[in-house]
Amino acid sequence: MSPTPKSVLDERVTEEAVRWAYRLVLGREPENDEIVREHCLKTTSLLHLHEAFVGSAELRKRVAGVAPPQPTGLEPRLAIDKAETPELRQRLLDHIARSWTHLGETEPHWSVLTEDQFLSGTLDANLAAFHASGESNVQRFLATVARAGVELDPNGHCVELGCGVGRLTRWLAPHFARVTGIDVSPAHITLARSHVARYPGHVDFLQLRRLDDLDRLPPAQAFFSFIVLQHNPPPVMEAILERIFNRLDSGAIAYFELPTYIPGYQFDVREYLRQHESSVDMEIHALPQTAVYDIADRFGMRLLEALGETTRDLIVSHYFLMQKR
Amino acid sequence: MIRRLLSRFGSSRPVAGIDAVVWAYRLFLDREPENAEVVARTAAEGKSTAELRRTFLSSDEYRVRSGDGGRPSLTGTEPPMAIDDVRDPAEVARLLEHIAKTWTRFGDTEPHYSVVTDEKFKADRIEANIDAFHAGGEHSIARLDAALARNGAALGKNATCFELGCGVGRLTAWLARRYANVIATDISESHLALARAHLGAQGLSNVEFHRLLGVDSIDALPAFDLFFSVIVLQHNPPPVIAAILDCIFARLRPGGVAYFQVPTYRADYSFRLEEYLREDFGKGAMEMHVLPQRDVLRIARRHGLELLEVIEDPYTGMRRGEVSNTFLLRKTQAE
Repeated sequence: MSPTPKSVLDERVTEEAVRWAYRLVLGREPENDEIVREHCLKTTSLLHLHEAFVGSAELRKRVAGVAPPQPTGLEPRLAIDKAETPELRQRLLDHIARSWTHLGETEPHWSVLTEDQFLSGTLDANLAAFHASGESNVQRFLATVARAGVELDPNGHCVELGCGVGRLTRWLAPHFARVTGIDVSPAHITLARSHVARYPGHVDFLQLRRLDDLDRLPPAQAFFSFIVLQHNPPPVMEAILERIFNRLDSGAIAYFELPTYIPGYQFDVREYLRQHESSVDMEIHALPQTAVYDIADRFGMRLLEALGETTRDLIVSHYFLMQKR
Repeated sequence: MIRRLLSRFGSSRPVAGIDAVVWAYRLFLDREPENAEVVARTAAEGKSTAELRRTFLSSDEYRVRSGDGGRPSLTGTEPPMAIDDVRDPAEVARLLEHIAKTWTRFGDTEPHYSVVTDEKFKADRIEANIDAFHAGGEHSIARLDAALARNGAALGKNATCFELGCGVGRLTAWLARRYANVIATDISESHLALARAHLGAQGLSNVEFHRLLGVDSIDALPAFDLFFSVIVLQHNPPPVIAAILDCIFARLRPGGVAYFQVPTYRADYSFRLEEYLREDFGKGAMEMHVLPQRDVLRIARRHGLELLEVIEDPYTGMRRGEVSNTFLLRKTQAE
């Protein structure tokens, strides 16, 4: 913890401060003197005053976008097709693998974090920042595990789905005896392999060609995936989760993130193939929570935490922490 | 109305002066302005306070400071909360009794305001605002409808709904219009009396009211198909929330659903029984508590409830460092 710099908000709350909070935050004068005095007594520091006013329902109504965005709770059901046959699911995976193979050959780092500085033209200067950014994601994983009161097995095998160029793999490796980095794109894996070789840890890689490849994974004690599943159509997400959950040992921890709601999203498998199968693109898909829990239930995965995040355009993602019975 | 029009169009358009600018720096940016020049320049722009507010709220500095810009209320790196695990029924009963005492007093003094803490619902102003108070409840029931529809869990019209913490009947009336029977419960007799009167005035007779005397008085209630509760559990210490959910889940019919709101995380929240008994007992304050997700889910599993959805909700004010969740669970059918 770094020491918090002295803040003006630590100062005592005066009646003047309360009156200005009314004027500036709520755009009106306080109702009466009594309410001003009440605020003075109730709020111990300007920081609390700030929170009370800026967090108030009155201001939220007045200024959209001040509070963290949240789902309205009125969202309708998403219409999402199942891909009934293994052939159809494989065809969907092949399509995604083609897109990502292309991205891996052209803009591998940018495909992982789509910020301009990670495009190949400016990557050299920003490569260190790119790889350093993975640490906080893995810290979040560790904090989530700690929050749930469970423990990772340091002698365990961790499966990382969508290792990309190894941005997170390198940070995961010290926490396990062994990590398997899985990706559909050979170019990404080549970069990941050379990156992780510079750091301690035992990492193997697996190019995911067929969904069945996952059935041959060595038994695992942990599963990790972040900003990866979202690029796969819902039936592929489902098939991947089923197969990986199946390879987890009793007591294994699964931590993964995926979008659970996208406004207006729908998935009609025939229509999707017709429109997208021949194009190369970075797609974003959603899998509703009910579908995630249904699979978890079938494979004995017990939910420990589901932490939602909502973007300004109301896309909801969840970070799930599960443990196998 | 006339006064509002005057203040909007009259000559008194408030122009933000030096003082306003200085306080805007303090309140929005948590700092003093760089120098007097900056303040003078901003003041010279002749902005109204509303424009000044917009300028500060849309500044990059405010966004960074407030963590706004699509960032969630939690970072995900939060530590566990220290919450005592209290399961002794006598201890739990003592905690509930304390909460019942507090809420009975609220019911005697500020019944409507205790449900929705908005100044206009205080006793001296409620008469003029009573319709708005009750109308405000419909939105919560629209959320319930949407959650059931979104998850393919809609119930038939013959369903019986159990509402925990009906208060003065603000949501009960909307539930009674949707479901065949409603069992409405509260720990405060004074709230219940108002709820009875409100439902009666609405001509709704499909509601039976019960005062909850203890956690186990739930065991004596008829079984139900839908458990509904928002902005209620949060006022109980974690051991009480856990004990209540335990009893309610047991009474829920197979195939029935539970829809309820409870805060699941708050930075700096802790519950230490001894400290609580020493410091909060007898204060009569409106307390705000949490129950972590893993405890909610553990109790649910014990009674064969499967999670359909858990979403972040706005019921506690959507502040950073705090999460309030609405859960939707379904009890599995007996095999």
